[in-house]
Amino acid sequence: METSPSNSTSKSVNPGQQGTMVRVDNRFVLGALIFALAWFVGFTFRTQSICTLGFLLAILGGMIGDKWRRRYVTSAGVVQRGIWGVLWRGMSMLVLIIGSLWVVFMWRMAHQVSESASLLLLTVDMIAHYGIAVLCILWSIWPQRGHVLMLLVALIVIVMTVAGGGVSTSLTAQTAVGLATVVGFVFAAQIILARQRHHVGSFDDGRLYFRSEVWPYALLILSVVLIGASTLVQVTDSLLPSVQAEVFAQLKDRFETADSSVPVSSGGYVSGSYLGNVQQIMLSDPNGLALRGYCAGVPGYLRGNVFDDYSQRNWKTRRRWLETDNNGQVRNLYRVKSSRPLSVARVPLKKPANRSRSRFSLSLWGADDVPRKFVGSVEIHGEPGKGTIIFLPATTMWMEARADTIGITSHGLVERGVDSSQPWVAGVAISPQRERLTAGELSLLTSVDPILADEIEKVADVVCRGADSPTAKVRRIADYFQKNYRYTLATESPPQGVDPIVHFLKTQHPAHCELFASAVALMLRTQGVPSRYVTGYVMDELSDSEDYYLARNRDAHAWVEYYDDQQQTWVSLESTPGREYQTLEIDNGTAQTTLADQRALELESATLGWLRRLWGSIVSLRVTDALSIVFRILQMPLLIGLVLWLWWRKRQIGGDAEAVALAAARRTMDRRMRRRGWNRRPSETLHQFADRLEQPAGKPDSEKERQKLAERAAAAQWYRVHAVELFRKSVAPANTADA
Amino acid sequence: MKRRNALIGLLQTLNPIRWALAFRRSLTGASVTLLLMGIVSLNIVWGYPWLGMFAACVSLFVIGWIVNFLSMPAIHVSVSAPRWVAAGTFLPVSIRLSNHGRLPGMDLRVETGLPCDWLAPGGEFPAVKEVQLAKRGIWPIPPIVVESYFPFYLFRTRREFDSNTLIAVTPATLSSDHDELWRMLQTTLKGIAARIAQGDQVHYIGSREYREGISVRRWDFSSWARLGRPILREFSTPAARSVCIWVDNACVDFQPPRRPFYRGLLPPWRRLDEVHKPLERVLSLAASSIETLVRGGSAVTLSITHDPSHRSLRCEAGGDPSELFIALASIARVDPMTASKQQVARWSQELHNSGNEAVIVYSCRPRDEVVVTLPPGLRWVTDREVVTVEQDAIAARTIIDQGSKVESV
Repeated sequence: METSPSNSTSKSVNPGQQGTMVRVDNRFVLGALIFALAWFVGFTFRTQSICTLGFLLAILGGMIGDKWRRRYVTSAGVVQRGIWGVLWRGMSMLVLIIGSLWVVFMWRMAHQVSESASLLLLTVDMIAHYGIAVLCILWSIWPQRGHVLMLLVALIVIVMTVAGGGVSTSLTAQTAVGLATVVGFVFAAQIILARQRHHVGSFDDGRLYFRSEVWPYALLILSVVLIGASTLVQVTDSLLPSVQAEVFAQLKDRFETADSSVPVSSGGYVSGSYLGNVQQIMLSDPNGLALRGYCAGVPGYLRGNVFDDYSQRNWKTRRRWLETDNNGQVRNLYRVKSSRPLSVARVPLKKPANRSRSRFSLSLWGADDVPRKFVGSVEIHGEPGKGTIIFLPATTMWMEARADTIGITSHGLVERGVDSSQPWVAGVAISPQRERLTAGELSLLTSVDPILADEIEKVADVVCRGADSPTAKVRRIADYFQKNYRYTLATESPPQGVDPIVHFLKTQHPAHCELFASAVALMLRTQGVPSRYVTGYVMDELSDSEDYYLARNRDAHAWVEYYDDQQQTWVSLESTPGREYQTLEIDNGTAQTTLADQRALELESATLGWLRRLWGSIVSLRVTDALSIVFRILQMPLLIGLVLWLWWRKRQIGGDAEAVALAAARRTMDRRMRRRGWNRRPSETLHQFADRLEQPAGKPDSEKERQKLAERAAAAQWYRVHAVELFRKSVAPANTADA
Repeated sequence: MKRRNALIGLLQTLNPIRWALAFRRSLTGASVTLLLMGIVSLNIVWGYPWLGMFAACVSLFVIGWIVNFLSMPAIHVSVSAPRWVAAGTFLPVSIRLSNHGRLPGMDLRVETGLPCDWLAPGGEFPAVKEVQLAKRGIWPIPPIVVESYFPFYLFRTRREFDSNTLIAVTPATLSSDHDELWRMLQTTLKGIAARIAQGDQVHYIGSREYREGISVRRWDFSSWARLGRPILREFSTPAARSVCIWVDNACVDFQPPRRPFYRGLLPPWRRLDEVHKPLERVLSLAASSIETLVRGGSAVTLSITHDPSHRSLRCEAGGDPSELFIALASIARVDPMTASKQQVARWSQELHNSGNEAVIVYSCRPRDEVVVTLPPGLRWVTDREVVTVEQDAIAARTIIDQGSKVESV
């Protein structure tokens, strides 16, 4: 890097052409950007050493290529390759790009495809590494000017690395990634595209120029872009859930009206938002892997979706968190409640993954009023390609996951903030937590669509005749289905205009779990028992290696939770014939130790909460957090400072840019001369100083002395030319005024 | 008319296709990359963790586009160009861009990519534009194209700045290498010029001794050898003092070939299919003749047969024939049927008043189609032949026909 005043005898009469400029070798800037990208990929996929090696090979290739290129440089400084030279270069580039694809495929994908491996993650991994390889190849061929394709490849690499779990889905991490991408992209674009569009005959020394006049404007625009990107992240994050809900609702309507048997939703996790969805998931690809769980016992039923309102074959979630004022008036309704980390994660993962994870409490009301017994933990690995739903046992107390803040719904689901590409650990209690329902919630959870209410109530009344308590009613209804119905996935379609649940209750035809669960939920509601419809997976299949449990598409399931008003808890209920609800069972040995852990944690939480939170925050501080903090702190001051400085500079210039440029060039030259021990005195004119520089201090004895003398002579000449320019500058306005 | 133009301008401004094309033209490799990755990152709707990438791409794209559009400086172009240029020749025109706006220009590219990284308010930037105008006439210099790539080469704003400078495009000069007719005519003209410059040997009046300062026309070597002193041969004033060139701009119209509708969108100076080729050739012959004669040491007077101003332009020997070339550049065709009889009479009159000047007429029409009496010795040049008029004003003898015969002057 070097600083120099531009040539004052330039042909250009542009006043601004005389400013100072900082020159940085393009190879250095492009290399730094590629190295940062390689480090990001290596850190994410734990391949730092190979990525660094690839980068070093690219440097080596660039050096060899540079030597080879010099052989073809003509005396005019132009690279002239013959037809064979061009062909050879093109062929070698083609071979390198295809060869690297093969190598990366064999390295990252071929040997890792297995039943338990996610094909999507492997593909993402391979694309990210191949992108780095392509970047290195292109950079070694065009080390100074780069290639425009590098911009696209670099962004693809970032996108793939983020998808592969390079950063969390938290707002902070996403903001940091966006802002870092903006900074890197603008530097790369400035180098690559400026060189691509360089005038053929003009001088290009392969350096990135930061002109003293231009960089404040460039920095100002960059600052505006960064602020815009930060704002856009915030705005998108707030709008995205509603957009997603709208899109999904639209798509669901479209698919339902299409009346297609194509399992359109088979690619994702089970949702259950409409009757038939679970069946589709089960039938489309029965053996397809959905979840893996590392656990001491059978994890059993894992909840992913909870619905509380049924109409026209659709289940919806209407329950929201309420924010009330002192008078009990509702001030706000919101879908999820934020939960901050309790501490860093403590349960070691069975399968290594990203280190930075935190523990979050899933308590709906801050802290349980009755301490619950801890049963054990389940480490769950999802399929990122299937979506971002977090599946957890019903009695989960806490979870450890890669997240900054998580969102908990009023039904106790984790809906936002968790990086689902990384495993999460659920701390399971023996019993569900207590929960008091408000009058409004009771009304919602006992309501039935009036069109269906009469038909369903008739059946429910018959079934529950003689049962007084809610528990007895629940038992009666569950037994009714277990004894009188048969399970099948080949469900009979209801006649046109008849609701499938009503048709199911009337005809008692064999059905799948959705109809059983829906019918039970609605029948309980007609009997005044609050209930909700739950979908998820039953994880009870042990893998061949017997080290983890599997939940496949065929294990998708729907069941019911009812509210026990005596215990004030939600209880899971299985009404599908031939099935029995199961969850993690207590293991005395582990339970004692983990319970002790849990108590210790709770105690610690009560006493050293703030200190622990602070320590947890510091320990879990990531690069993205640090970047985000830097950006947040610097953004506004930088913007304001730049605007003020440009305004001040404009005032100083007063329309005379040339004078300012001359002064800047003179200051730079004075500085350079001072470093060589030659101070221009305040009383000394430029010509006097030039004369002094040229005064011989004796006969030069050595080559070094002669060189110094020549340098001084050149500097003296510069000062004389500069003085002439200053004189012209001072005379020109006078002439103009006279005219 | 003003209202109509304003309406057309408004419609053009509101044309969505125009917007789309302008947007497409403004994209660079960087913005295309951002657009593609912005679309990919829209998958955040399905839960993909690309919120940051989406924000980065969208903000860079939108802010970059707006800033790029606004950062194009208000440029004024001044051009330093000669008054005329021969059709089809390349002319390097030096241009000077000056920034009249309040904002500086950054990352600019002028014409063929000449970089201008910084153009301060009030600053100037010199450049050179290569101009080639193929069609004769008085045309404006093509607009100067300036592209702005600020910020960060994300987008390109392209503006064309009119220099408001007209240039005369004179008839294309001819080369004697491949043009037989012109070669013959050039030989004739060189002979005329030499005779005018040096005098004819038949006007020899005697010899005298050389003194310093006397212009040398011809040495008398035999006398010099005999007397041992340098002796000059002296001649009387030549018979013809200058050459009078008449350009007959009356010629029948031609049917231009049918052209596709989009050719009409080209600027007039590029619609080469509308050229009247015989007239253009005759004018080229005239222009080349003027150049040859002036260089050869002869004064030239140019007159146009159907010129309402009735003016004649004169260029002295060795002088600058610019005025004559510009006059040739601005000649318009006249229909012989509608030609003014007074102008024909004037032409005839002036031809006979030309006295001892050599007269050459350049016309698209054959001699026998033009009803005008011509003085003997006059040369009638068409795009195909050169005819010397004999005693009989109407009867002519073809000296050269398509270059197959050698003229004997």
